[in-house]
Amino acid sequence: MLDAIVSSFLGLFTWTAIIYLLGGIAIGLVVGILPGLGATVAMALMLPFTFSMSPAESFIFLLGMYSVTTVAGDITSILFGVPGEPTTTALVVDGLPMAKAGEGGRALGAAFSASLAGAVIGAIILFAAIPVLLPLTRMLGTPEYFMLAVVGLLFVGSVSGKAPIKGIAMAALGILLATVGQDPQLAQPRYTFGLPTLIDGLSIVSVTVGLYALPEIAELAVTKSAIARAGLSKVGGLLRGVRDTLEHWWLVLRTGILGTIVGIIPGLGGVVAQWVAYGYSVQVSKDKEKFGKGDVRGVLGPSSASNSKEGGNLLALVTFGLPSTATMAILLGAFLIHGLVPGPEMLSTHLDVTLTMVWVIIISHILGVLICTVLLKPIVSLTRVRGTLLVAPLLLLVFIGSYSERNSFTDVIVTVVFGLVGVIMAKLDWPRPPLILGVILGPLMERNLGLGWQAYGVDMFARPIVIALMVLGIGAVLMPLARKRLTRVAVAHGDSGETE
Amino acid sequence: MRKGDLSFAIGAILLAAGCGWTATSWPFRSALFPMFASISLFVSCSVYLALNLFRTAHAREPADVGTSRVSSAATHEVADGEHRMREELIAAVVLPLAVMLLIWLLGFAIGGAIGVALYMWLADRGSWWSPIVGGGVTLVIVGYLLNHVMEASLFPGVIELGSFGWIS
Repeated sequence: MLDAIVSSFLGLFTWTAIIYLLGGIAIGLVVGILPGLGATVAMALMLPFTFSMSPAESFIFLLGMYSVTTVAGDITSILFGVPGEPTTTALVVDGLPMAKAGEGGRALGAAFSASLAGAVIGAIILFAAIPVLLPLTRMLGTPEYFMLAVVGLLFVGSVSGKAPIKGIAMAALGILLATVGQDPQLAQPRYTFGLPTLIDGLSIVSVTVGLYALPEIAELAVTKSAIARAGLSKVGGLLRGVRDTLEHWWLVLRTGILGTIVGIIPGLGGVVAQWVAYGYSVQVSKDKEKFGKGDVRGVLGPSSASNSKEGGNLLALVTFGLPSTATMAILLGAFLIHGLVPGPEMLSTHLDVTLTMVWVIIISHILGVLICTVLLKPIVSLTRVRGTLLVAPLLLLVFIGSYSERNSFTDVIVTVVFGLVGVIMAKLDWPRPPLILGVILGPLMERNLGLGWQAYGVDMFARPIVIALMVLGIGAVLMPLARKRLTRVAVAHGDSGETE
Repeated sequence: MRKGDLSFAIGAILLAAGCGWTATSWPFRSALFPMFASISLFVSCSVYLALNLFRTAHAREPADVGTSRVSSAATHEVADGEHRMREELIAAVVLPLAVMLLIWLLGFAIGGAIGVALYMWLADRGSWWSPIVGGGVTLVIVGYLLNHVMEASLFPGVIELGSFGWIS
């Protein structure tokens, strides 16, 4: 294991790896600072460009990009109150008041250093969990992997948005879309309408970029304006923020661990992790009055958690094939495109790829923080770029991406169709992550169910882990209903208390 | 319940019914997953629709009692939201369709460059500087870098471009 850790680290110091890492980081910084273009959109846009790369190189590029988006997103959240990334929204609460009080540099220093600490905490937990989880993954067979996919879908479906039933419906729609093409067992064409290009099914890339990138581009086309209208005045005191991180190391450590745990749970992820961490930071502090008015602890907790969650996200994805967020679902798509199957192989045969991913998270955070600190002013100037300059080139990039996977113009048409569906879904609050998950997990579920049924028959549902997972799945469906009921009871009690 | 929500849910139900019906003609093992997904989609959207229609019917009575000022503000907000959504839908349909048509006709390099230049010209309301630069940069990146240096063999378009054909 130690040898593998060292060799995967050294493997990052080849020219191609360095170029891909720096390229990914550069794109991640731009995407992170521009609101609207989140990590998910960037991942969807860049996925087709990894086809010619080796698996390790493609993950160096994609994860390098993904890891720094949160770091860059901190800047606009703190300085302008406009989160560059959904995972940095909690920073606005205390970061913006600090910036208004002339402590923007201190807040940024605290956010950068806590982000770095969080990423390292998440990565260490991931390193430590690998030897523990390997025997566990070897106990899992096709029935368990089928059930894990079902549970993952149910979790994401039920926790996404205000109406869990919409999430479940979209997961079902995703599975339905995944059945387009030849059936893997009997080669029966399904929903192909006689089109030869649909025999291989819908392209993951076309569906993903259509659902995620086109709605954001449409929004940019309508908004047109840049986010920052004023220039940036001098930002000093970054070191003071770093000192704050060291002074509150215990809080940073605890919120980092909390973020990793939240990151493992499907359907939660960065946005939830930062708010849970913010709530925790307030709860454990003796003096709570300054929170919301510019308390540095309100910056440290969320920063640490939203970066440590990446370790948790990867842990669930690599070991169980459970994507906890939409971004991780797209990364799972990258796994499948490169012929990698999550599970024990990722912790044994392809351990080098897994360990490379962990190193990429750490190194890209270090580089991201360094670049953001040194080049703060030029990076912030990106926020003055007009939306109109980005719309058409991004649209072209989307089309090139969807075309180049299979060199088929039908995929471009599929992208446009799903773009329209994506805009409607986004505007009507129908969650998109369960749909993407359904498209990606659907074929895995069908294959594992087919193989499991052949090997065990109906007994595949009587295996202890499968039963435990079934219970978990039922819990996932009932959880939001129970939460709603409890909230209603609590509100009713509160009302009656007031009247009394 | 919003009209859009209602239409989307009904659309999903019809899609599920159609897909489920189509799957009945396939062998059991091929039809299992599509049937399972269709039934799940059908049931969940029907439940969502039924619950919301029930809630809307119940909520209508007290809403009549509300003050006119509040309802007028809410109407404005809804109208703004609907207007913006309409604009975004147009942007999501017209813009990609126009660029896609140009690419289909002239290929990624020339069609893409014209698309970029035209959009910038329309968005900047008649300024020529950024459209020319944007179109030129696109032509160089797609036509030269992607097509020739990286040999990406992108779609050349259905129209023969004669002596300009080497670009796409």
